[in-house]
Amino acid sequence: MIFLGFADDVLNLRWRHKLLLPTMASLPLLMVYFTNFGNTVIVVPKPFRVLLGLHLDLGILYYVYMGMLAVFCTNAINILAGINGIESGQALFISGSIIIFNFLELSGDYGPDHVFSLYFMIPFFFTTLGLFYHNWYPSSVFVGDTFCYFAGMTFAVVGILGHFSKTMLLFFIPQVANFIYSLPQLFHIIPCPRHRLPRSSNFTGKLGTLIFQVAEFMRVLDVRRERKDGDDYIECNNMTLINLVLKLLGPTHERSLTVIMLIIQVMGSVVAFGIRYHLVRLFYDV
Amino acid sequence: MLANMSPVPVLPLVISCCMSIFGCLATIKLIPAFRDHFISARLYGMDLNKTSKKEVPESQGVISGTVFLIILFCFIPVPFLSCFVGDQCMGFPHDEFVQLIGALLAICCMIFLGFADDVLNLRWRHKLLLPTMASLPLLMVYFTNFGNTVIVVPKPFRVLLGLHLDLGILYYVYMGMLAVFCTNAINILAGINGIESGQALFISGSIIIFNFLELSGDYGPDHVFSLYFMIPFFFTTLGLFYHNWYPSSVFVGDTFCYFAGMTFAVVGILGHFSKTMLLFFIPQVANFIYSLPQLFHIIPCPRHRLPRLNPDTGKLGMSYSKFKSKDLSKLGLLILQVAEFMRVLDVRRERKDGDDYIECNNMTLINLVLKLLGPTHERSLTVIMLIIQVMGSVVAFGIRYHLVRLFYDV
Repeated sequence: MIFLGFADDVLNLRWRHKLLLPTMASLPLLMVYFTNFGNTVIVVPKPFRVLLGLHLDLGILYYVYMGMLAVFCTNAINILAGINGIESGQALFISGSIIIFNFLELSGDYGPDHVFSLYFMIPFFFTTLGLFYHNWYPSSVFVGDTFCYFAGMTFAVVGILGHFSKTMLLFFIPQVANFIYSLPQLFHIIPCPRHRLPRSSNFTGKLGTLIFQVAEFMRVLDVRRERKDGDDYIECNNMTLINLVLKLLGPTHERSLTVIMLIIQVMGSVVAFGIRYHLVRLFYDV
Repeated sequence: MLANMSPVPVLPLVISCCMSIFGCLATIKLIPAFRDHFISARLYGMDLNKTSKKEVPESQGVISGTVFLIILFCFIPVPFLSCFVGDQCMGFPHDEFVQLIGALLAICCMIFLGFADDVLNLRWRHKLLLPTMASLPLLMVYFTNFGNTVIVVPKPFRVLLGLHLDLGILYYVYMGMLAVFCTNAINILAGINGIESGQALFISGSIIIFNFLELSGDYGPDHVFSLYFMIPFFFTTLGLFYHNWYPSSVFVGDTFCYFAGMTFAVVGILGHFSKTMLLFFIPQVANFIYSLPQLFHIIPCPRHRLPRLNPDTGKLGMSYSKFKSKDLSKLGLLILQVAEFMRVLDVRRERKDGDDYIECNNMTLINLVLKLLGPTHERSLTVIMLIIQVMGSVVAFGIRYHLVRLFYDV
C-alpha cells in the first residue's frame, strides 16, 4: 500500500485508481485471513436477532467488507484534510486510541489478537509522531496521499486480523461524519471543486436544490444567492467537517482550527469508548 | 534412490501460466496508457544514442512489477487449493505459505524502494543499502523455515575444510549480498536499447528450463516454488521487452533492475539453487569484473559508460574515459598496462598544453564487444549481447550437469 500510495503521489493517478489500489493491496490480507481463519460468521446485534437469528454467515460478503474497509479508511483520512497537521494528527490520535483499547483488552479472551495489533500500532504511532513533528503548523512538509494510504491500510490490517474492526470504526466517528457530510459533493450532486479546504467557491447550481434547502434549514450549510449577468448564482460552503466547524465558530486561525479538529477527534474516541464499553450491552451480550 | 514422493502440481502451474500470459498482454497495454503520467511527473529521459530529442518514459519497470505483484497476490491461494477444496491435505502447510508471503514481501519492498530511487535519485550507498533492507524479510523466512547454514564443501577444498562446513551467520551475509549483487549486476550491463529487459528475460528463461528439468528430482517442490515466481516474471518482462526493444519507446529504469535482481535472489535462495543461478549470470559477472577498476575509481569513471553514436555512420562505437596521466595512481597505471597488453583495453595517449592525457575505453562488456567487432549498429549489438547471454546459459548448463562431477558427488 505504501508503494502504491507513493506511485499515486508521483504519477497522479485517477480517482478510479484510488479505489482500485487499496483493494489490490488488501488482497494478501484477505488471503491470509482466508487461510488462517476463514471465519465468515458474525454475531447478529440484538435488535436484528428477530429477523436474522443469532449467527449469520456472510460468506463472500465478509471479504467484500474487509476489502471495503481498507478503501474506506484510506479515503476517509484523505478527505478530512487541508489544514496544517490534520492528516498526521488525526492518524496519531486514532492509533493512540487503538493502542489504549489494545492495552485494555490485553488480559481478556482475545489477548493475542490485541498483542498482534500493538506490534503494528506502536511503530505506527511513533513514526507518525516523527512526521507530525514536521507537519504541525506551520508545516515544513506535507504528508501526501502516501501517508493516507499507509495509515488507512495499517488501521484496516489491525482491525481485520485483530478481529475488532467494528470498534476501530468507532474511532473513525469524525471521519465518518465528514464522509457523510461530503457525500453530495463526492457524488457530484453538488459541484465539487478540486480543493475543498477552507475558502468558498463560485459555481452555477442546478442539481441538488433539495439537499441545499434541507441542509440550509438544518443550519449545517451556508448558502448565498446572487444574480449576475442574467444568471442565478448559488454559493455554498464546501461540505467538509472543517468548513462546518468554521461555520459554527466563525473565522479561526489555522493552528487553533487544527487543535479544535484534534479535540473533536479525541472527543470522538471518548464517545467510542463509551459506546464500546457501555452502550454495547444494547447490542451484544458481554 | 527413493521414488519422488511429491507429485508435480500441474493445475497451479497451468493457472500460473494462464495468469502470466494475461499479465503479459496487460503490461503491453498498460505501458503506453501511462505514458502521459510519467512524462508529467518528469520521469523521462532522452535516448543518448539517437539523434532525436524525443522524451522517453523512464522507470517502466514499475508497471511490469505492479502487474507481477497483482498476479501473485491473486495467485496466493492457488498452490493450497487442495486444502480448501476436498480436504486432501493433512494440516495446512503454514511454512510453505509463510515462504510465499515472505518472498512476496521482499520483492514488493524492492520494487517500492527501486521506484523511490528512480524518483528521488538516491545516492550510491543507498543502492547498496536498499536491497539489503528489502531482503530482510527473506532472511527471516529462511531463518524460521530452514535455518540451515551448513554447506557441502567442493571436492578440491575437502582436504582443508572437510565434507561439511557450517557458515553460520556468513550464510545470511551471503544471501543478503546475493540480492545486492544480482540487482547491481543487471544495472551495470546497460545502456543499449533492450539490454536490461532482454538479459533478465533470458536469465529467467534459463532458470525456468532448469526448474522444469529438476521438477521430477528430489527437490521438486523447491523448483515448483521457483516457477511460481519465474513464470509471471518472464511474461511480464516479455511485455516490457516488447516496448523496450530497439528502438526503445520506454526505458525500464533502476526499478526494473532492482525488481529483477531481487526476484532472482528470492528464487535462488528459497529454491536452494543459488550457485546454479549465479552460473546463469556469467556475462553479468564478467562485466562486473571487467568494470571493477572503474567502479572503485582506480581508473576514472564517467557518469555514463554506454557506447557512443557516430551520427554519420549511424553505428555505435566505444565510449572513452579521458584523464590526465598524472591523475592516475600506480595501481591504475599497472591495470592499464596489463589490460592493454592482454588486448582487452584500447588506450590512446596524447600530449596537449604541456600535460600528458590518457584515453581508454570505458571498461564494460559492451565496449569490449565493440572493440573486438568494430563499430556496430545498436540493434545488432543488442542481439549479439543477448546471444552472449544465451551462450553463457549453455555453458552454465554444461557446468551444472557435467563439470559438476569435479566438485560434488551427484
